[in-house]
Amino acid sequence: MLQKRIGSIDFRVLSPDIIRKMSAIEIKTAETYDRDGYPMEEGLMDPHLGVINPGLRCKTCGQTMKHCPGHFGSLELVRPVIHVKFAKVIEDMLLTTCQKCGRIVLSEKALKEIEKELGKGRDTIIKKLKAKAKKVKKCPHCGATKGKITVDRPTNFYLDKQRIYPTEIREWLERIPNEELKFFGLDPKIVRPEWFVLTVLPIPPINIRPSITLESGLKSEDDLTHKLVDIIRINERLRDNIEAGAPQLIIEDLWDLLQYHVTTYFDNQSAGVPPAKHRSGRPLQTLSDRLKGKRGRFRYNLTGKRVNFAARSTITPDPYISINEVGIPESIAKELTVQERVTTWNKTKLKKLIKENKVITVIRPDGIKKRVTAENKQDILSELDVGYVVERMLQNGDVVLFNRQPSLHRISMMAHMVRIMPEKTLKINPIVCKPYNADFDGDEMNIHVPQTEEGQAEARELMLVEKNIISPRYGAPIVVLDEDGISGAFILTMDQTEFDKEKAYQYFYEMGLKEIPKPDRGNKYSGKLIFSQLLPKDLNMHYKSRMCEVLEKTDPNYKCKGEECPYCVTIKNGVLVRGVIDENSLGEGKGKLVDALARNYPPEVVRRFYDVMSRITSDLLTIKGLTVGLKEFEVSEKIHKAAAEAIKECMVKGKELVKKYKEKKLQLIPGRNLEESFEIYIMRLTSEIKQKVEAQILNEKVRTVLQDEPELNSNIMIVSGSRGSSANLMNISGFWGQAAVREGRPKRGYHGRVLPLEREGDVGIKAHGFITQNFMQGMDAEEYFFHAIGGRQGEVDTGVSTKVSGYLYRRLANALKDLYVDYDLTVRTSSKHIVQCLYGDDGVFPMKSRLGKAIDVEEILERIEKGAADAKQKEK
Amino acid sequence: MPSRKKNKGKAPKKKTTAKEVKKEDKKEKKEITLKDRFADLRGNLPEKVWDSIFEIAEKKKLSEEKIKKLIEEAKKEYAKVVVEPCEAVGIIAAQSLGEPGTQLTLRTKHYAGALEVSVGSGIQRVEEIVDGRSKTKYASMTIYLNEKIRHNKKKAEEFARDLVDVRTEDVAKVKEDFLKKTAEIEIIDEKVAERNLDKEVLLSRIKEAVKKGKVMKRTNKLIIHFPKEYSLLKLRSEVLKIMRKRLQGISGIEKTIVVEENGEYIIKTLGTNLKAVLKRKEIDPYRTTTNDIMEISKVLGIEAGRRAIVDELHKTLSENRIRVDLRHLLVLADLLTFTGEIRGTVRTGIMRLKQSPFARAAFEETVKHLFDSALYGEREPLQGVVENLIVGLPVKVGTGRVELVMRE
Repeated sequence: MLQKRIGSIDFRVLSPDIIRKMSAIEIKTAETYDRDGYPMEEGLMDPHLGVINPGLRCKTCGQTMKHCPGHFGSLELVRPVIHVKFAKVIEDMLLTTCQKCGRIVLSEKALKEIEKELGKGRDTIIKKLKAKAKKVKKCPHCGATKGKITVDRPTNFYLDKQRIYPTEIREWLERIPNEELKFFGLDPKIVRPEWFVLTVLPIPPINIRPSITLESGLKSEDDLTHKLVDIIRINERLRDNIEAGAPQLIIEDLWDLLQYHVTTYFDNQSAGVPPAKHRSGRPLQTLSDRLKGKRGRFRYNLTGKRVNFAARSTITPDPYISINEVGIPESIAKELTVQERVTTWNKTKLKKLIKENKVITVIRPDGIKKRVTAENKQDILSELDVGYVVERMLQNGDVVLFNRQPSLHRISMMAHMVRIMPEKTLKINPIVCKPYNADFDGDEMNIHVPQTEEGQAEARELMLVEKNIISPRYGAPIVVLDEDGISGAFILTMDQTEFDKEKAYQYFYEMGLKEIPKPDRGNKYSGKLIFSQLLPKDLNMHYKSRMCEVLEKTDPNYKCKGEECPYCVTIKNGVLVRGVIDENSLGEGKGKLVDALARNYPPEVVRRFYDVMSRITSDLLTIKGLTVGLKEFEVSEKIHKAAAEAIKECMVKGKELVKKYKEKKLQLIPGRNLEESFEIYIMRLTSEIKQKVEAQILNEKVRTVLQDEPELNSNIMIVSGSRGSSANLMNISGFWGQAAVREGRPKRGYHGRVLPLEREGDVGIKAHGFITQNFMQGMDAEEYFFHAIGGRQGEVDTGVSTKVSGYLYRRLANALKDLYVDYDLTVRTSSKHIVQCLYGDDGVFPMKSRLGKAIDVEEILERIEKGAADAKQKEK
Repeated sequence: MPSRKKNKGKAPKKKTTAKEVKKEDKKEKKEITLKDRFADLRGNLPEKVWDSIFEIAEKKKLSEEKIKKLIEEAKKEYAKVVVEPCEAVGIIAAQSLGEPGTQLTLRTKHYAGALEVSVGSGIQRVEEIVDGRSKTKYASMTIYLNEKIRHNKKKAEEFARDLVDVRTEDVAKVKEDFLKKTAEIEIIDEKVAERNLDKEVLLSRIKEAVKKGKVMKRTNKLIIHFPKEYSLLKLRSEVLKIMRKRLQGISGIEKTIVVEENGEYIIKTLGTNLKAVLKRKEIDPYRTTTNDIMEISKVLGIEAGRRAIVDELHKTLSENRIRVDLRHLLVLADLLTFTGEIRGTVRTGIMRLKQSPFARAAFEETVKHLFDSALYGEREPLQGVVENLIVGLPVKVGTGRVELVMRE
C-alpha cells in the first residue's frame, strides 16, 4: 500500500555544510578492503555507507539490504577544486565582478537600469552584463583596477595571464554580495556562488556502485569506485606533499591532477579534458554518463520500466476465435496471476479453484502472503474468508492487454479476453493484424495482466478491440478484414455464388441463427442471402463498390446505372439486394459497411460480423480454393501486340527527343534548362505509354471475374481490392517500364553511362533504364541491372525513413504528450496554460467524427422525415 | 480563436476577394432573418454544423417546425461526438502524425503545379514545419494577380519578369584597372536574353549605382573612371558594391514562372519575400502566399502563422495520401504558436518552455537540465506525463485524471 506520495521535488545545489551534515562517515583512506577481504573502516566500502550483502545490517540505520536506502559519506578535499558543471557560471561571475569588493563592476545607475529588465530571462541579462563589464577598466565601487580574465576551458582561469587558483576564486566568489546574485538569476536563499568551488566532496552510497564478486573470488569494483579511489589517492598525496613542504610546483601539479579526477568523476566527456580510462583502455562510465542518453537512467530506467505480470510469445493466426479474444498457451496461463478479492459472492468459486490447484498464493487481511501447497491446502480452505485476497491463475474470460512493438499508436495496445488453448503460441484472429501491424513470419507479442479491478474495468470498457474499430486518426475503420477476408467476402457475395442446403446450414449455424431462412434460388441459397443474415434488420445503404469503379476505369462502354447498378452495393432493411462486398465495404479507412456497423450499433454487432465473417471466409476459401498460378498472368495476343507497339512507339519518340536534345531544338519547359526539360519529357513519355498498356491488361483481367464460373485467382484479389493492383499485373505480364531513381532516370555510374554495357554518352531510352520486358519473360542483363538499381534505392529509403520518422515521432510525442482536454473543453498543458479554447475549434473528437465531419445533417433530416412518414402510416 | 473556414486542397490564407466579400455580406443579410429566429436554440453547436443546417433548410425549403426538430436532433447527435474531458488529445495528435511517418516519402523535392518550381515534400518537409525552422529549404511563393492582369498572359509574364531579383553580377562581368583606377563592366548578352531583360535599362541602372567618378557608356559596356584619390581597397569595394547592386526585382526572388490555374494566370516563384511582394499593386493581396511559415507569421501575425502550419502540413500529408484529421493538426499548430511566436518541437523550442525539470531531462540534454534546475532552485511540480511516470504515480491524463470517492 502506498503510504506517502511524492507531492513535488525541489532541486538544490548542496552546500559544504549540508554535505558534511548528511555524511554518515568521513572517508579517509583510499584502501577499499583489508588483507582479509573485509571493507576498510573509513574506506570507500565502509559499512556505514549502506549494505549490499544480504543478511548484513547497515551500521548507520540498522536495516537490512532490502530496506536500507544507502547513506552518503564525505571527503574533505585538501585544496578546493572547481565543479566542472558550474565552470560556466563561475566564468560569467569573474568576468563581471570586481575581485576586490565582489560587486558587479557597473555603476549604481547602470545596475538599476538592468534591474528593470530582469524579467527578460537570465541569458539576456548575463549577456548584457558581460558586454558592459568588458569595457570597464576600474571598479566604480571600490576603485580597484579590473584585470582581464581568460579561461582555459573548462576549469583553468587566468587573471591578466596569471593563473588564479580555486582558493582565490572561492574567496572572490565569497565576496559577491547576496543582493547582486539576482543579476545572475540566482537566489541567495538557495545558493551561494562559492559552493561551485568544492571543498568537500559527497561520497555516494555503495548501493549505487556495487562491487561484483567474480567466480574466481576476485572482487570487481564499479567504475565510480575506481574514480573515487583515484580522487582519494591524489588527495592524500597532495596532503602529504603540503605537510612535507614540497615545492610549489609539485603541489600545483598534484592540485591540477586532483582537479582532473574530480572533473572526470562528474563528467568523463567534457570538452578539453581527456577521458579517464579503465586499465583495459575503456573510458570509465562516470556520473553524467549514467544519466545521459537513450541507455541512461532517465530514458532507460525511469521512463521505461520493467513490469511484472507480463508474457511474450510468437503469434499465430486463428480465424475461429473472436477478435476480442487472444489464445493463450496453458503454460503461460499457469504462470500469470490475477488478484481476486474474496467476497461472499465468489467465496465458493475461489475455494473450488484452490481445490483444483489454480490458486498460487493467498494474502491474508494482515498482508501476509501464503503460497498454496499440497500440505497447507486444507488449512487455507478452512481459513479463507471475506477480506482475503487470492492470487489465481489466468482463466478464460480474464481481460489482458495485448501489444506489439513498435507501439506507434494507441491501437498498438488493446484489451483481449483470455482463451486458454493448447500449443505454445499466442493466437489472434487475423483481423486484428492491421492495427498491430502484425504478420505471422515470426512476430512476437506481449501480454500484460491488469491486476486491480479498476484497471480491468478500464481495459474492458475502453481498450477492448470491438470498441476501437474506428481510428482516432481519421474517423474511419482501422480494424478491418483484409487480404483473404475481403477476397472471401467478395466471392461470397458474387452473383454467381450459390450453396446447397448442407453448406448453407453450416454457415447459419456459425451465425447462431435461430430461424433458418428459405432458400432463394430454387433449392439453393445465394451467397448474398447468407451474407445478409449478418446485417442488422434496419440497415439501409447504397454506395458505389470498387468493382464498379474498376469497370468504369477500364471499360469505356460501361456505365454505372446508379441505384440499379448490379455491382454497386444496395442494402435494404438488412438485405443485400444488389452488389458485391469488396474493399469499399470493408477496407481500411474506406469500408462504408463496417463504418456504419461500428458507428450506429452497439459494439457487439461489429464483433459478431467480424467473428462470423472470418469463420465463413476462411471456410469458403478452403473449400473453393483461392490460388495464384502462372496461367492467369498469360495475356492475349492482342495485349502482346499492344505492348510491343507501345514499346516501339516509345523508342521512336525517344529517339526524336534525343535528336532534338542533341540539336538543342527542344522546347524548354519554363524555368528548366535543356537537360532538365529533356529528362522530364522522357519520364512523361515512358509513364504515359505504360499507363495505356496497363489499362488494357486490367480490362482483360476484369472480364475473367465476370464469367459464369470465375476462376478464383489473383484477378479476384485485384478486383476486390484485397491485395495487388494493376501495377503488379503490368509488371508480370506487360513490361516494367522506366526504372526510376529519385524520381528520375538512373544517372550515376561510369563516365558518361550508367552500366558498362552502354555506349558512353548515350542518353537514349534504353541506356537509362527503360525495361521492355516483364517478370514472366525475364529481363536481359542490362535491364536486370537497371531493375536492381531501382530496387536498391527503395530498400535504402525505407531504412533511412524509419530512422528519420522515429526521431520526428519522439519529438512530437514529447512536445504534445501533456496536452489534455479539460472539463470546459479547452485544451491545456500540464501547467494549465490554455492551448486551444475549444478542442479542434468545434469540440468534436476525430474518432467519433465521420472522416472529420462532425455530424451529417442530411442524414438526420432523412431520419426525421422517415420517422414522420412511419408515424403517419401508423395513424392510417 | 478564429473560426475555421477550411477550404480543402489549395487554401491560401484569405480565400475571398473584395468583390466576393460584398456578395457574402448580402447573402448573410438575407439569412440573418432565418438564422436569427432560431439563434437561441443554437446552444453549443459549432458554426459549421449550424451553417449546414440552414443551408439544407433553405435548399429544401423546410417548414419552421421541421427546422426546430432538425436543430434538436442535431444537438443530440453533436452531444455524442464531443470529446470526453481529460482525453489525452496531445499524444493522440502526435501518434496520428508519427505513426504514418514511415509512409512519407523521403524525396526532398517535387514539382509544384506543372513541373516548374521545386518544392520540398515528404518527411523532410514535415520536419521543417514541425521544427519551426526559420529558413524553408525550397522557399516558394504563389502570387495571385489582381483582376486587371489576372487573365492577361502577356502582362502577367511581364510582371513576373519584373519580380526577379537581378544583380549586376548576374548579367555582367567586370574588369578592373588598378593603375588607371578604372573599371569596365560588360554586359553578357546571353544572360540578358535568358532573363528577357532590356539591355539599355540595365546599363542605366548600373550607372545609377556609381556614386563618384565619371561613367562612359558604350554599346555593351560601361567604363567607370573612379576618382584618383581612391585607394585600391576602396576601389575594389566600390566595384563590388556596384556588382551586387540590385538592378530590378524584389530581393530574394530567384525565379518566377507563370502558370495557368483555374482559368487565371498565377505566378510561382523560387525564393520568397512576402512583405515586399505584398506592397506591389499588381497582385491580389488576399490570396498571395508563401510556403515559408516563419515569414508569414512575421508579416501577417501569429494567427496567420498558425493557419499556415495547418495548411502546409495538410498539403504535404495529402500529397503522400496520408489521412490525418484536421483537428490533430490544429492541436499541433496551436501548441507551436500559443506563446505568440512560432516554437518548434525541438529542444530550443517548446521543450524548453516546459517548467518541469524531469520532462526536459527525459527529452534531451539530461545533465544540463538537471544542473540548471539545481542552480536556479527549480521545483518539480509533478504535473505532466513523464514526471509522474518517473516517480511512479498515475499519469494525470485520461482516466488517471479522474478520481472517485465512494459515498459513505
